[in-house]
Amino acid sequence: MSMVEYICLNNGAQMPPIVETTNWMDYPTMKRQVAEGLKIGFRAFDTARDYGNEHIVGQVIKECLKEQGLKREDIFITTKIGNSQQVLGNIEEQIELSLRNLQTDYVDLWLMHWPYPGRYVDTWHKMEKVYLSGRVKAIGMANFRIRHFEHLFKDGVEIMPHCVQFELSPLRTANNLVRYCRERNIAIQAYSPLCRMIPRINSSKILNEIAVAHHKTIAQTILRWHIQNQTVPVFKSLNPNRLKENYDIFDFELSNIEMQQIASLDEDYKYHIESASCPGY
Amino acid sequence: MNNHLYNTEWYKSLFLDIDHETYPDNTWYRNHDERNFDLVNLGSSGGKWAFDYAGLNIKAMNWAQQPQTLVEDYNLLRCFHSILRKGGYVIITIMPFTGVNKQTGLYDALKYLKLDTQGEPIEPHLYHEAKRYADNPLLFGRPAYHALKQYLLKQELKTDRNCNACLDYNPMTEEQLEKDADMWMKGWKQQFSISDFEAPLTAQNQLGRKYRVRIMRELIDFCAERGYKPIYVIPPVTLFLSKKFTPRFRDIYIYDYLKEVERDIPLLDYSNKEDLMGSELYFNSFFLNKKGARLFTKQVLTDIGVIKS
Repeated sequence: MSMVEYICLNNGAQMPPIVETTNWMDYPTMKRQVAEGLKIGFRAFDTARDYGNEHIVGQVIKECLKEQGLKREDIFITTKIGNSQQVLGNIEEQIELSLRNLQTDYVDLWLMHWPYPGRYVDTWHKMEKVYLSGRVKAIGMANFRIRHFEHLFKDGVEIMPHCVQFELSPLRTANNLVRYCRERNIAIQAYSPLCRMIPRINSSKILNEIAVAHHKTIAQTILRWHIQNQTVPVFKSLNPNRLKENYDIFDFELSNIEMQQIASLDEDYKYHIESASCPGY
Repeated sequence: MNNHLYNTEWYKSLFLDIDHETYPDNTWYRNHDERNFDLVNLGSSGGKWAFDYAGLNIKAMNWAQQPQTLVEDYNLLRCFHSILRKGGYVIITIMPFTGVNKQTGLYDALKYLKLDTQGEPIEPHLYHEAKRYADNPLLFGRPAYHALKQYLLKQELKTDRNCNACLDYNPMTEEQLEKDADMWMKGWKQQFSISDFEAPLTAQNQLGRKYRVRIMRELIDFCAERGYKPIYVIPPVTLFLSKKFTPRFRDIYIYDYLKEVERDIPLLDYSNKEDLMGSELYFNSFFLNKKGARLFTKQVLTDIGVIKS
């Protein structure tokens, strides 16, 4: 069964179905994790300007590709524009800075990190121009809700977003938002896909039973749920063994009933409080 | 010397929530698992002392401070509202002078500086000045030197801002309550340059009114856009103070203001509720004590329908 099917974005670009994020990692940690990730099979890496380590990602990726005999086009890099860059407004210069940091001449997916009030519509239009220039292969946003999309679409868009990233886990299935994106063929990436394995995830009877039935861990079960849900999990691990374990999810399948059971855990629980990162959210 | 000053009780007392336990900022939420709160209340002194959710079957936070302006209320909401569940309640505490504006100063800007608000000021007026003083507290001059001396001599006294909230009785006699009520009324006259509470608003207060109407509308629309339920709540005061709020005064300063805001949200008005006016429920003529706050909070939550009586 080991099939790793890529997600096809609405512009034809191919996105790996699982992403390793690099937020807040220093060089030694990132080098270890990315190197190990590539060996295991990870091909997508996520960063953001506001993580303060785009330049480290660039260095690490360059070294790892060379060491493992891979090419730039073999991997998928996501980065994001932060709120302070939106305030500056010089979005074309910001992508140039990101490209320099990442030591690449293109980014696979470029996201607006937050719908920064009063700025995000203008930011989107500038991102559209950059997309049309070819320096980014796909554009999208993170942390948008339906009302943000509606506000943006009311203004008119030239490019329909290719992908949106938001917090999504069995405790927060965001059904309305997922449906909204699917109706518009906007791909979904899920951050905090395991809800950080908080106690109520670990102690869930449903998750434990399903995990045991498939001889997998709870984390593997949830990640498989994401894969079948076509919500691309974006997760962080500082443990190479954990990375390997979390990639070992392509050799089993959850039944429809099991998928529904996992989804039934939804309680609209978000780990991250959006307004704390984006005042006025 | 600044480094020593940062450790003094005086310096720490300049700021709110230095232990990140009141407002759900980036530090709070990484240390707490609770989410989807049912309700928050905003407000100034009246709100701070009026709401006590302990022991009630509700997830709620009291974001009011003594003092706190409507702009600060709104900015706190902008920064921390995501702690609320879908359809969560936002209580907007209405005090006698919510509808007129007052000038804020350095200390008002200072007190919010330790909250993690991603660089967005809760109190924008004198924000940069406040940051300068926070980084270099020696700029305060005499209070700083005094605090430093106390610290170095290990003679510091720790003050508890909330000691009055622990009281479940009123320490004032009737005579003291009468004087206290007079003191508040005189203080407000001075603060807002009012010579006659029954006269129409002064030109300056009319300008302040326009500003407060705009902020209130933005605050309410902010709630509505996100699916929250804003509610005006007018807390009670003792009979000693309440009798000084004539019907004309209430119209000019409270009800006309709410009418001018022109937003159709529920109003829970406890300003005439006699069973909440007994002085034993307050620690002065104005603010509810622990007993009073618990009683009042339970009443409000029952009236809203979030708890059963």
